[in-house]
Amino acid sequence: MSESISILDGNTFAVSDRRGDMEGGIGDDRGLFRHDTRFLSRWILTVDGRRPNVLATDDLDYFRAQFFLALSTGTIYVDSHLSVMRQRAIGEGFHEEITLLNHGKEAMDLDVQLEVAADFADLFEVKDKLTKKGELYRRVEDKRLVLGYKRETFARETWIEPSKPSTFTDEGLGFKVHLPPHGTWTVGLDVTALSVVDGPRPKPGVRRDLAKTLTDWVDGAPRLTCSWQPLEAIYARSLRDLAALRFRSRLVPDFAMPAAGLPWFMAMFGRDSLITSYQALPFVPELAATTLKVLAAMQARTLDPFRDAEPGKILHELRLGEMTAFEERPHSPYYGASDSTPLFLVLLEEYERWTGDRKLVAALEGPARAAVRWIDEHGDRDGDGFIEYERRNVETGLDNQCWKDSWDSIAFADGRIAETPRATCELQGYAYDAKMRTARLARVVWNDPAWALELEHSAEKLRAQFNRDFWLPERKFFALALDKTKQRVDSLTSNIGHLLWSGIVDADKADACVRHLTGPALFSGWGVRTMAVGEGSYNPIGYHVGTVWPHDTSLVVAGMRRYGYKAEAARVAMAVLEAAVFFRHRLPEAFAGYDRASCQYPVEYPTACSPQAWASAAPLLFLRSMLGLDAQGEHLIVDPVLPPEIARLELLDLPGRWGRADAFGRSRIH
Amino acid sequence: MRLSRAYDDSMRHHRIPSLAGVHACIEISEPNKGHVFLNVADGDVTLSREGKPDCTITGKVEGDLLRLVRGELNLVTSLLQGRIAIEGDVMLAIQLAGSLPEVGGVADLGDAR
Repeated sequence: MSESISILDGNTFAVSDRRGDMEGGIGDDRGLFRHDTRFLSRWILTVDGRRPNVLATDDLDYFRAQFFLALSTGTIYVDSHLSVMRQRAIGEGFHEEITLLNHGKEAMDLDVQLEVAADFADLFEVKDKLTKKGELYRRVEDKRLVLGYKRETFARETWIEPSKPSTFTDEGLGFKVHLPPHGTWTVGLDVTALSVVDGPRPKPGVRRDLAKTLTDWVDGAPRLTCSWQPLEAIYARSLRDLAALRFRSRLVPDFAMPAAGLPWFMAMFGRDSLITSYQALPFVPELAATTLKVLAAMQARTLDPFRDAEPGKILHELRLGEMTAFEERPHSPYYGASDSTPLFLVLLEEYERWTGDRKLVAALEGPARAAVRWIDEHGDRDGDGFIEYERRNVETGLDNQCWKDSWDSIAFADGRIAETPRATCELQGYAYDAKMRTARLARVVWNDPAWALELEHSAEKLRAQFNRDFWLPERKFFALALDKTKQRVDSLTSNIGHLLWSGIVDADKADACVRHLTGPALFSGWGVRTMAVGEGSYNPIGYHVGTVWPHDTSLVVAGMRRYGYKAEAARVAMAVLEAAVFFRHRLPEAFAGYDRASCQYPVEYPTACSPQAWASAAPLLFLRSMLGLDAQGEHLIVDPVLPPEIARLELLDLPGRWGRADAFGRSRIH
Repeated sequence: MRLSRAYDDSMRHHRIPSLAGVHACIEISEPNKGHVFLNVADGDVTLSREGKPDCTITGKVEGDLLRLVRGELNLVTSLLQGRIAIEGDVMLAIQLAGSLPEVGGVADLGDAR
């Protein structure tokens, strides 16, 4: 019963076992969550004191699931005469219908009980086993059971309303059911999660618009046909997962941007939203527009050490739970990311190039200028020309403010952890790319050619300095970072692929980088490891020190493609797509870095989020890279190089400034 | 709270560079105390008694609006705690919240006496 079934809409999600029951303890992600708070931690159905057995579970739609159950007779020789169906759909909480079917010739009198409880745990508390500081309560009113939590002015409630008369107990609610022979009994249950107890009550029940929204989303995306059948399934899964992860925050209710991943990261993340939007831009450009608008609105304006905020910085993470509310965590929002600001500029330019939407880009000139100022002033803390980071909030801030944000990710080849401030290499690449791209916007949209020249000179200076100071001539790749003393952190990592993607790598150094990325130390056969075999900190099941991250590899592939290594890019992309088949066509956040030759399938990383937005969008960037899609002027450029496994690949109705256009590719080997 | 002080300064224009590109009207209100409208036009902020707000920030706890305007309270945490309510465009309120201390400082909105 360990497999989880999830339904979600943005950051409202319900995670149960395959029966439909939720038993969420500390460290367990089961329950009903909304706004980073667990509104139900216990939801267990019993019939005559027994929990039905699972026959089948259907969760084909991301927002609804069905559970087919039967009451066990205790022996395989006697058929059960009682079926139990649970149908659940997400809403302002969820709506569940429980149906009992008597298949027998005798009437049944049944005691149906739902055990319910809510711990109102902040997601941080669920993960880290912390103690609540407020009071839990429960009351019965107007035929509903109310579970509540109050701490000073902070109040959250869960309302449970059955459609039929029930008895309420300390444990939950119950029904006395008389089922005639071949009879049916159904009860509906509305579970509503209220973040504002004294405000207007959200409408309970099912969100009827979700099915249509999903259909519109899928229908609006380009159509894919491919000779390698799994790619069609992977593509369909990616589109549906990206639809599911669209995030309507309580703070930005009118906008849907990609949240990071289920279950721990159903929140607004600057880096994840920006990269996901970049990966998905040729397919669903509306994600990028929303992401840019929302992140610009929340751009930091003041210096705030607690939140690691500096003027012009783009946010890292926004949370809505109790610990954020009481400033026990800094996520209101937290700005501890040094890459989100240059990535904001990268996406802004890419968005204009693909869509031609100059109105939005014109409106975001102010935030773009502030972002460039941040790169030069606060990003480069010591004025050495490179972005480096060191947290201002030493209590609850992030030690690593790059995408590899676990504590041990930035390490020397001998395993020593580099001291802060750290200037990781990909940050410099992003800054270079951001300035080059912003220069183009300054020239063609904001009519400021002088600033454009200034930005290009600045970028050129950074490129030259970077290729000099980060290059390790004896190992022939770029250092992972410069540490506190400007010593080169000499581990071989996937970050060098991000450098190719950014364009900062001198042409005479690209070949060596590609050889490393496709060589046995970094390339596992299923993708590019975050850290190479043989490095002191390498661990194939270490979060950022040896696992394969599909989004990471997708940027590596885009980088190889940028420097003309088309066949190598196709080969690596194909490896990850083949891995996706083993994950039922849904790439997880990360998987283990074991060599493909030593195991016949990619090994799961135990706590990987799935779906995870930038993993879901990785196949889209692989498609773009394999087909060689790019926007130039008013035209879509198609320059396909496919892996041998794919004889034919077609993408129809790609949206862009050209309207809609088709792209075709054929393998040269077939 | 001396929101009324703002009225004394009504129709005065203040330049807040960080609000360049923003066109909006935001109402700051405290029940039984008063309210004030901030009209933002591409970085120029005008305080007035009347307006058609895109969003309204209402204080629920005595003195909170004053602290918010002074930059002593964070708008997001205040909202999550239930100390304030926001009607209308929440994202706009957040966008302007970072600039409230500048507005308050210029207009003496935060002067409680």
